[in-house]
Amino acid sequence: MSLAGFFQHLVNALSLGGIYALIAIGYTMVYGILRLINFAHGDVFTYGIYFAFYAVVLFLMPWWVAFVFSIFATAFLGAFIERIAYRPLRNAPRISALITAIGVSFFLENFAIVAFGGRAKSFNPQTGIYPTSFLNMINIGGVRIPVLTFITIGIVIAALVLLIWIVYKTKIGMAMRAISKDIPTTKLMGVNADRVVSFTFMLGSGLAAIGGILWAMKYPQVYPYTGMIPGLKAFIAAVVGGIGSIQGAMVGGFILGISEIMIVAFVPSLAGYRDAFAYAILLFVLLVKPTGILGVEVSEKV
Amino acid sequence: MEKSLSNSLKFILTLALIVVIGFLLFLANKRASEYVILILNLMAINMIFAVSLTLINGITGIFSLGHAGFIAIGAYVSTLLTLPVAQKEMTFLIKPLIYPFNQIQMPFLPATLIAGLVAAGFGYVVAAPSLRLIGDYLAIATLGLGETIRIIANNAWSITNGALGLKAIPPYTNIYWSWGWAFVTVLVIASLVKSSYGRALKAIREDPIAAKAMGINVFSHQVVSFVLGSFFAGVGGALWAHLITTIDPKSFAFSKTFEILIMAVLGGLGSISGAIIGASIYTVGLEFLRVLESPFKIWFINFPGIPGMRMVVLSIMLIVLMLFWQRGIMGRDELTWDLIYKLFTKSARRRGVVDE
Amino acid sequence: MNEVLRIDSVTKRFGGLVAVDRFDGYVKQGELLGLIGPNGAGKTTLFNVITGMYAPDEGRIFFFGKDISGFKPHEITRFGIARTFQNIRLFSDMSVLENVMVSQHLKLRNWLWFFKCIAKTPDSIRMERHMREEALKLLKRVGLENFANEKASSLPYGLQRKLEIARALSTNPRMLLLDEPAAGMNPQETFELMGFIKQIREDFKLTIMIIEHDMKVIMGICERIYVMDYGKLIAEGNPEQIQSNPLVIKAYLGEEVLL
Repeated sequence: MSLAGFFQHLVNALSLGGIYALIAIGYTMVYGILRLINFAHGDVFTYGIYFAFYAVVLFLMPWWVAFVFSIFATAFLGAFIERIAYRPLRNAPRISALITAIGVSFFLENFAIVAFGGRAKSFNPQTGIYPTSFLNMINIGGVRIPVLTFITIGIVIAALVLLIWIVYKTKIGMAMRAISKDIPTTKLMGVNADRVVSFTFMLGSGLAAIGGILWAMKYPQVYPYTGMIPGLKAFIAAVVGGIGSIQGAMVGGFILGISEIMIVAFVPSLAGYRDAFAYAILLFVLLVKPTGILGVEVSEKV
Repeated sequence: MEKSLSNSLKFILTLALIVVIGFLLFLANKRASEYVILILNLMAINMIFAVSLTLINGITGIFSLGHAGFIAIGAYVSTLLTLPVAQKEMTFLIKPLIYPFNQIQMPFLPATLIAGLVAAGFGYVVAAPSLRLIGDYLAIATLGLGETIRIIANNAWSITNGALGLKAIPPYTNIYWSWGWAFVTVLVIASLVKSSYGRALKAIREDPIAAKAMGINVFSHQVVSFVLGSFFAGVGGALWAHLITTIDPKSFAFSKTFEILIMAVLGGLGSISGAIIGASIYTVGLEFLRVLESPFKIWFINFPGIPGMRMVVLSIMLIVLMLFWQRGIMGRDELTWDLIYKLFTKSARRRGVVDE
Repeated sequence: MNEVLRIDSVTKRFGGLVAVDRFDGYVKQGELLGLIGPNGAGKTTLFNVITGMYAPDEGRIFFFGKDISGFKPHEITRFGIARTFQNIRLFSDMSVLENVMVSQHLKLRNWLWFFKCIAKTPDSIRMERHMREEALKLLKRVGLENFANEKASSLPYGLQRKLEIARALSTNPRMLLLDEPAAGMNPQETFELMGFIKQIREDFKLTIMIIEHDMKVIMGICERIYVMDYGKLIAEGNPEQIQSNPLVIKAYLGEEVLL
């Protein structure tokens, strides 16, 4: 493989890893505060794409308006799910909440089949969903890379910076961090836990929408199960990086994206197993350090 | 002190129940339509799936989400053993089937047993690393495991015929095989749970640390529970493959584990009789819901059939179930003759029929 | 001296924190030994090391002369050391009887019993009956037989604590470690508990080691006391000696000491 080819793969890997990171953050934030694996997050990702799609195709919004609309719509979807399905079970045994999350995921997927149709919809720029200029190729040292890849990386970085700012520099971010340590005490300090939890879901879902749109521009199709595999991989990314840790989710996302692209780049015959790499990494991490790369050890008091 | 029925009476009642069920099945086999027979077979197989999952998740408290993987192993192994050699040559177009499978053909019973044992073997191999994890991590790991098995099945063309799957599987599964194995599954697992081992497993579920302090080797018991559950999952997989006669990796995605989870939770996670009830209701209920997918009428209102509506309703039902009725039908209790007697006399007493 | 337990320079660290720091001690046959100290002194950690929940980082533990350091908890229970927990760890969904029957599982020595139990062979049925009878006998001895079929979690708090102890007794131990058995009890219950502990020492021929914060209990029934602070052993003696020891008083300064 030439240096140029390597660079092409690397840039591709970074953009994919960035998308995984955006989705992974949603999983990790929810787990951090509720100890819940939000199985429905991957489907929220899918709905983000659907919202953008229908905003352009049905409501005839300009593409950038549609994208903003989708981010907000998806954020509200996430908060809605939390309010209806997760909040009532906040004090229930964890397995009940988990099963409910699986149920919500199932519901979203099947509802999409019924409402949007099971056939894949094309997300290509011809329909005005995004400017065709995004697909222009840039020539770098003999390799042609679509502008989109760089835009993706740029947007991911912008989103991550915005997120870090929110989490570490705002009051509500501080509340989020406090709640992830201890809900009852935080409540005693006058924090409205419900509002903070809702906000967390909105934040995670909004990021997922961004990730979804970036994904759909890269792999121009949307169907009800679009989010299932990326969702699972992003979840694995969150675990690998240390579930509950936002930085961990970012690290995990990039690790997964890079390994997925690079392994296939170096060993093309393993292409069919590309989805299994994530599980292999997962099993490896769980065996060596279950709490993840940046995770915190939590031991049970005997 | 509560009045309870004598042991010999309970034994006779159970025996009578088995005879009655056996007779009904015999009748069904002779007289009922193919559709009904299919449903009855599915019901039995689902019972095997649900009860084996209940042993692992409900009784021992191992939150495993990889059941579909062991079902897949059972399905594939048994099929590779029962397919006629000529058929295998025809089916494996991309890559020929490896030795010795391409030369073997054996009858249903040994194939099913081997399928179960292979699934159990896999269970043993993955149990050791997985059971070091707790709670959510275990769930994730087993989920990943089940998915990995599916992906391998999708790519191992010389073993599983990859994404093309296997077809023209001899339709060996009939009422006697499916219900026979269901009977064996329930018998073995119930017998285990009603013994000292059952208490040990439940103790592990309640509090593994306290269980250790009571002298129980938690790890080895968890492994045994996991392996036994995987064995029956494999057996169920074999029965299933020989019922629907075609299998491919897509049939064993996470949604399969999810369906079994619904059955177990509906009946009450932690109850064997609950799993049986849950599986029955689920199997029948799913068929009823099929009604929604073709046009139907309520009073004078015409509803167009919407394909896929079934699963939407199902998922809503599951969410509602978890929100309002987590313990399911039986919770963690078993449906015993004593319980039935108590319920019967409670209502009779209320109606003034029987004296206190 | 008839030593049941010897703790030989045991150290246990958690990352940078030294929870138990070169603890040296012993327990004599038939003794009622108290282990006290401020919160976080490392008392429960020491119990956990003795019972195998943690392996000691340094040092060894000897039980009747046998080195038991590093063995797993269930193995140490089989050797004859039983314990109760600071926070009640009953098997809440199981009945009182089942709670004390669990430990009898030890008797099924090999995996052949696994198949016997499934097949319900005559000797497995006999074993089950035997287990049940032994468990009922134990419940009678501690006065809990009327609650045999009640769910463990439905018992009032004081009886739950008693069941904790009964469950430990069901493992046929030679030594019993009680971790704050009087926690949450009112004075009446505490008084009964003290009598109960002395009684079971007699009836079951036990050696007992107790962690407690309630000084009434410690000073009332213990013959010898170890005092821990910051993982170290800072004092040893009988109740009078301990009560007048300046180091002990200093360690507890600021803490409410019930005398």
